Amino acid sequence: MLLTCFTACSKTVDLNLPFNGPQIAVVAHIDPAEGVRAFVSQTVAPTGEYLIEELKITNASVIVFDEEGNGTSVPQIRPGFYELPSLVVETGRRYRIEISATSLDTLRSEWVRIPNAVVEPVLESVIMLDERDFGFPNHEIDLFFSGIDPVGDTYYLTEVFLDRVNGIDPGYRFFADFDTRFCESENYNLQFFPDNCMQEDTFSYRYDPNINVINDEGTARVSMEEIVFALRSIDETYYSYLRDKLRLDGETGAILEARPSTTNVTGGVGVFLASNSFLEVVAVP
Amino acid sequence: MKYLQFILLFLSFVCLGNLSAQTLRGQIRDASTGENLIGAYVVERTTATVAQTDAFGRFTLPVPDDKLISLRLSYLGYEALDTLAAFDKQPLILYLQPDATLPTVEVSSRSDENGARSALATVNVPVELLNAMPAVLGEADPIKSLQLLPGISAGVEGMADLLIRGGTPDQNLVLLDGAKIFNANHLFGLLSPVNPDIVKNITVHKSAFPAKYGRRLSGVVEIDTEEGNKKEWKKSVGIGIINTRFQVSGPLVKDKASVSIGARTAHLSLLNLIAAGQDNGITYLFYDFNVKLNWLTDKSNLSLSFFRNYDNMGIKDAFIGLPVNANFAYGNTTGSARWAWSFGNNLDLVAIATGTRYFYRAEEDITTGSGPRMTTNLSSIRDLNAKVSLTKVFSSVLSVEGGVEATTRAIEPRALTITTDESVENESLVKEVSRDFAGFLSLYLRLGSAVRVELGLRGQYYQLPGAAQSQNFLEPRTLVSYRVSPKSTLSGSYTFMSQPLHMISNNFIGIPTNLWVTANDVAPPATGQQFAVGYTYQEEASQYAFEAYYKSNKNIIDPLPGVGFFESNSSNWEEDVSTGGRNRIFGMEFFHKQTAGRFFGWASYVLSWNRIQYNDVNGGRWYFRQFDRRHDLSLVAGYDLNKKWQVIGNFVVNSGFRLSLPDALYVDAFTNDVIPVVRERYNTKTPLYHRLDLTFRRTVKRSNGRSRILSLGCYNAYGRRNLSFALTEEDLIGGQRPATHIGTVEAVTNDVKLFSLFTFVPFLNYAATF
Repeated sequence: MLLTCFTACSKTVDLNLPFNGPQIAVVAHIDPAEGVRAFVSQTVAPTGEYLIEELKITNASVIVFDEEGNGTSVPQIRPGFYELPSLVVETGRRYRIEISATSLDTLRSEWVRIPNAVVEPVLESVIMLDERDFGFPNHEIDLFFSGIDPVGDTYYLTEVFLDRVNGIDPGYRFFADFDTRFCESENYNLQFFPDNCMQEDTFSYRYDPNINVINDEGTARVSMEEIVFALRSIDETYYSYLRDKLRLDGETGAILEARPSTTNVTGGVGVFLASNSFLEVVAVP
Repeated sequence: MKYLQFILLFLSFVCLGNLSAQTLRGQIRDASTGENLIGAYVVERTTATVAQTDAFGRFTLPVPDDKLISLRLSYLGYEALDTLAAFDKQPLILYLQPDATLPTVEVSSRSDENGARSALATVNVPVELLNAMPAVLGEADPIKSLQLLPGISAGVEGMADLLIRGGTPDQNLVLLDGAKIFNANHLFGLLSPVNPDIVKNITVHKSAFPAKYGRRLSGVVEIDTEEGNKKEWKKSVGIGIINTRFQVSGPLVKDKASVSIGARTAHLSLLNLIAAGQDNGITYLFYDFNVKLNWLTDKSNLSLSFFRNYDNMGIKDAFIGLPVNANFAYGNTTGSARWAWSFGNNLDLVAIATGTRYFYRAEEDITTGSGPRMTTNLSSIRDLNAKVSLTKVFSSVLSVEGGVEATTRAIEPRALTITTDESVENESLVKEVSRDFAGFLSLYLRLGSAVRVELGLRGQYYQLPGAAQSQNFLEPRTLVSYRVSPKSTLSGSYTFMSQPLHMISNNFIGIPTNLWVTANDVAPPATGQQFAVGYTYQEEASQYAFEAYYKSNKNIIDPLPGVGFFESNSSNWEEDVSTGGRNRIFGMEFFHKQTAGRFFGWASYVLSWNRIQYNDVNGGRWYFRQFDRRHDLSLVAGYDLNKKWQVIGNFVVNSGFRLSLPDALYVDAFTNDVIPVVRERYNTKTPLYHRLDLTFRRTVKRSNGRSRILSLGCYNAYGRRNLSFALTEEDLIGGQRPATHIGTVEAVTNDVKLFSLFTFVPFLNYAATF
């Protein structure tokens, strides 16, 4: 309400926020189930408009090191995206990433350790077509995970995706609204953080994401054949990074003081995130 | 042995002093209403001995062994009185006539204080003048007007919070008739909670705190309300843009017992009626209500006071076709009983019992396909306090005040209840019960005609929640003043304070999402020391004052950057805060006030540095706090155009406040997020703040006590867009956010939007007493 009232009195001004020139920015993931992938771009000033295409760094050298000092180069598969799914990544080992590009400082990450895998997860799913009229039809899926480690030892992330983008028209949106009683505010669309909510000694929870692939008008639904559910154990940096994004996206984030961004790199900005995933492909009836 | 010698010498000194004088006791009252006057000065003119009336209008003054005593009486807003009084062992009743002139600054009464305290350590400004100052929307607000005084500043523009010498609002002990008030505001901080018509006296202590006050680090704000007219019934009404208020005051037993009733409510409350049948809309209601009863006898003075302030905002809306009702309410309810008893032989007793209940409640009622669901979030504080003190005047050299104080307090930081058709679920932070006990002793010494010394000691014991945790503090208080010349005084003070409560503030506005919590082993009680040195020079029509201070506070807490009450889901508030903060504040205050014929005014300038350090913020380095203001200048001026019309203006200019803003952006193309890079807390400073306010007042005062006051003016006369807060606003072009795995964002934009709350705001206000 206050924000609504105050908006009428707002003005946009140039505060001359300091910008110390571009640096390498990276968001990189490493996971035994998915290898390594990184998006490499450069930072921009805090105000203004920028084309993403111009920010991508296409000539970077991306190298992943293991704790023995062995480096593996990660190739670029499309502009700015560097991936090596076949990289052998082992639970419990430490890795770091180093990225260099012309005329920019070399970015080096801290060592990250691959967390323990989810222990014997059990996932039951019930999928049904929801015909309720919310403007578009829903797929409603009940999922039940059990057998996960006690809360606090490891952070968890559940995620749902459509085996990347394959076969879907880019004009369509895919989203899942995880809805739980206490943790609604902890939803970040396709991702859900049970650690924020669950206080029991052992995870054993049910959630029911409404999963949709619809066109921009919300009038047509795309037929899906399969959906991938990931249950990831993640390291603390990964968890903090996701929490940061949650806050940015939340309504109350607007009135809260900005906080220093999660990072574990030097010489640039960004994150090198470690996870250990259990993937489940669920067929849609 | 040395101590024994010292005590014997001291007692001899005191006894000699006792033999050298007699003691005059009495009360000073308002001649028109019979009310006691708090903080009035009585000066014995031949020796220039000074006494000040207490909260019951009583004074005790050592006087020479003469039959006729030459006295000068003065009080803010009243005509000074020079009189000869015959000495009597019975208390003397003296009356002062209210000043019939228009509100103005007072200079002369300060000289009567004889330089006991620095003019900047304790502030006492006529309430009538504070009420006359231009304010947002023209609503008289004597507490907010204090922000124009040196060392007292506002946080966000327009808000009623008082930041005293760099402290935070929770570090102020706000007492209404002796009872504590928490989150003291209406309308999310736009107005202070007390009806201006019923405020009789406001005193602010910024340093040299008397030992009878404790449990807060930065300031003590004493607000006393009217006791009621003991002569005749009076009624007053006031109508402004935001609210309407009234007061009724009159004798229950003439010259003995009186009652004062005041109330105020918002015109916004009418929205409730309009919105009653609507599906969508916002409603707002606030009111405050005061009742005070007072009985006077020759030897005792009893006051019973009740106060309640309440705010309630309702929102009716719909979310994806589902009805949503939200409600937000908060308020204080306080009660106090104060009893003063004179035993004779210069021994007086004051006993105060107070109770406060503060609460806020947020409710959301939403009906979904699976049925209704109500979420209620409740936070509350219950505080009971009792204090007994004895004051004994031994001689013209020594008087002693001592007493004990006990408090029990229960804080329920947050209780979340979710109710559906099928279940009721509760999630609460642990209820915190704590107790405080204190003993205090103050010695007031007058050494010769030039030196005055106040020595105080407060022993404070906190019984805090947790594993039988207890904390003790010995808190020395010292004030020494030296009268350099009849016109100038040098003073120095040292105080040690402790605070058993913390407030987790959102640092934004004074909305009661600020969470009060009790100190514990993770966040121990905060402590603070203050050293101050002051100089006051005073002439008949002007006063110059300077005070430099250094404050060092420990165990301060702040929310971690970006953590807000709504966002926090942890069951322990300790996880959301930085603890063990060290705060150092250094400042210099300059003050000059002047009267010259029809003109009056003051100028106040503060130069200060306010730094804090936490191990887990900004890499453990010291950084400037949000409202660190290097320069703060206030100019207040008034001019009497004629006997009825008066113009008052104030000009304020100060350094901006600090913000945490990103210094770069980058993109997470896996989830289509724009990630702001914020490296340091409070890395940016807003531009210079300045504004000019003007008010024209027409005051008609009649001899029968009736009056009419019309105020018209404007806040921020030249429409300066001062900045109150900033939001960053990222946008994505060609893609969607939140994330999808489909489509590619083509571009990002980012703006920093700075919000200005109040530009040019005209106002009109009318008040009448009949």
